[in-house]
Amino acid sequence: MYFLFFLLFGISPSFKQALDTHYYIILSILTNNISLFIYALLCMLYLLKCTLFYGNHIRKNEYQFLQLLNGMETGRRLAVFLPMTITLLAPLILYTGCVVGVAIKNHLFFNMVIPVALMFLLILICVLIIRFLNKNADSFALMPTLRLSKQPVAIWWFLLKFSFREQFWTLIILKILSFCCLYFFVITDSSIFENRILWLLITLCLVAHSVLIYKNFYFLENKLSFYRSLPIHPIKILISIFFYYVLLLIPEYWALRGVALLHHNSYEYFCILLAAPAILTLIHCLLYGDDLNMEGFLGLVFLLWIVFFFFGFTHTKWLVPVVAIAGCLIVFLLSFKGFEKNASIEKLE
Amino acid sequence: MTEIVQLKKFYGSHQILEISNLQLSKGVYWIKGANGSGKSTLLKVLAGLLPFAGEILIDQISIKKQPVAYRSAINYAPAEPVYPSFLSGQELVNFYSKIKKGTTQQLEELKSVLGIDDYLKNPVGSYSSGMIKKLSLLLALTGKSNWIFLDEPFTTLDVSSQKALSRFIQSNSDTGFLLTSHHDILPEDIRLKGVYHLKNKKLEAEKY
Repeated sequence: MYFLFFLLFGISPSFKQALDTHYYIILSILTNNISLFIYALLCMLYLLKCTLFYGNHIRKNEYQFLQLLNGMETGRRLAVFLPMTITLLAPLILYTGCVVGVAIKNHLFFNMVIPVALMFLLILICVLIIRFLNKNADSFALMPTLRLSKQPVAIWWFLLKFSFREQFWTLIILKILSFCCLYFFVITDSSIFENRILWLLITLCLVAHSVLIYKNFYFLENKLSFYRSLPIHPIKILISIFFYYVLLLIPEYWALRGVALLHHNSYEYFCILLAAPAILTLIHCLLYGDDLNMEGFLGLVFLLWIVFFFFGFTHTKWLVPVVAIAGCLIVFLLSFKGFEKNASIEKLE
Repeated sequence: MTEIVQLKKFYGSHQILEISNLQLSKGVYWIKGANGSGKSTLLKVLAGLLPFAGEILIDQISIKKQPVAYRSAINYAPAEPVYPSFLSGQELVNFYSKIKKGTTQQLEELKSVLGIDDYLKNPVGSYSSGMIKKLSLLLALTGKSNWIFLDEPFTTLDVSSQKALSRFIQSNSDTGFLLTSHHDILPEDIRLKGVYHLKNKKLEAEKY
């Protein structure tokens, strides 16, 4: 969220100017068809996110009591789901309120019909989807999965499946932002291209992967924790994690290929190729140090970002991958075996 | 032979286990204990899932000095297995049998013992608790291990599967089995070599 906020408003010199920028964005939604289309698309993405959220929760034991609602009459059931839907879609409803406010202020009464109608349509669709999911809780688990004739069986493959199945929208949003950010900077003219800004952007994009990494880690240690009882050498586990991050960074590798092709700096591109997955693996390994909550983890990641941001300034760029790889190895070997999830003493007693 | 030497396990500052010395030759053993007595923790420690103080050896292979060889010598099924909901049982079986060197013939035999049918191809998220339990037992019995640690293996299983599993354990007692249960009775088909009671952090042998 902080990262998105930084991208959306962080460049404005004052809060008033940030609000002004947003005011004009809303105005363009009301007056420009392409902006309206993008707005509708984002609303639908949010709807999808909400329904995925509900679908994932209804299958958990602690939320299964919600299935008792299936015994109610259809009309009453929909009346129960409506407030839930309004709560889930509250950010969209509030934003539509802002759109209506701006439309009234600018006397664009006809133009506000589509955003308002869209809002009502989304509420209706959301209620119907929630009703369906409530009735067919396990339908989510039976969603078609990618079936290759021979799937690899390895930790990196399970992580990759987890990213695409359980973090799909986070992954898509992150990759679009990261790819655009790097690609459009790299294709700038050589006379304007600034190497230090490139490293600033790369480290920022890598740090933005922290949310994914945090969830990957807890997936590995909670849902896939049985791997610890299997005879796999720790270094193989580290290599598997590293390989997964290499695969995850393919869009960024493609976006950055201009460093070698346009700016004729193959050496620097090679350093990026190695450093990027190593930094992500290092962030992952930091979690083995302690059973951190998200806040503590992000604090640690911020420190790491500062370190690599300044390393990006150095002329000896080979230092960046070397430091990242050495950091991975040291942190992993020191903390992997001793890692243990915090247990609540109250529960034990 | 399984040897436990000066084992101590803490959660924070709270001590859960204190086992000074224990040696178990191969056979079927039953660890009894009330809820929260530390049975599952003991089996997780034995399976290499939790760090601890002390030493554990399986046929002279140390869990700390030879972690990969140790893990090759053991198998473990948790009391409440959790697997990623989007993976199919078959993917997990493939993963285990690749690492544990399980054969197709062995897998087919285990499937028929546990009564696992075609559902292995479905995602784990669609399984009932009994089906997940059977999957975890199938995984734990895959490959050739010296010792198999089964935490509450009969819980959530139907009666016919309980009987089939106990017969299987008895007929394979050349492998060491360590079973836990909070119930007072185990299925009749199992002839135990020893019974231990986990009480006040310590493991006490019971007459059987």
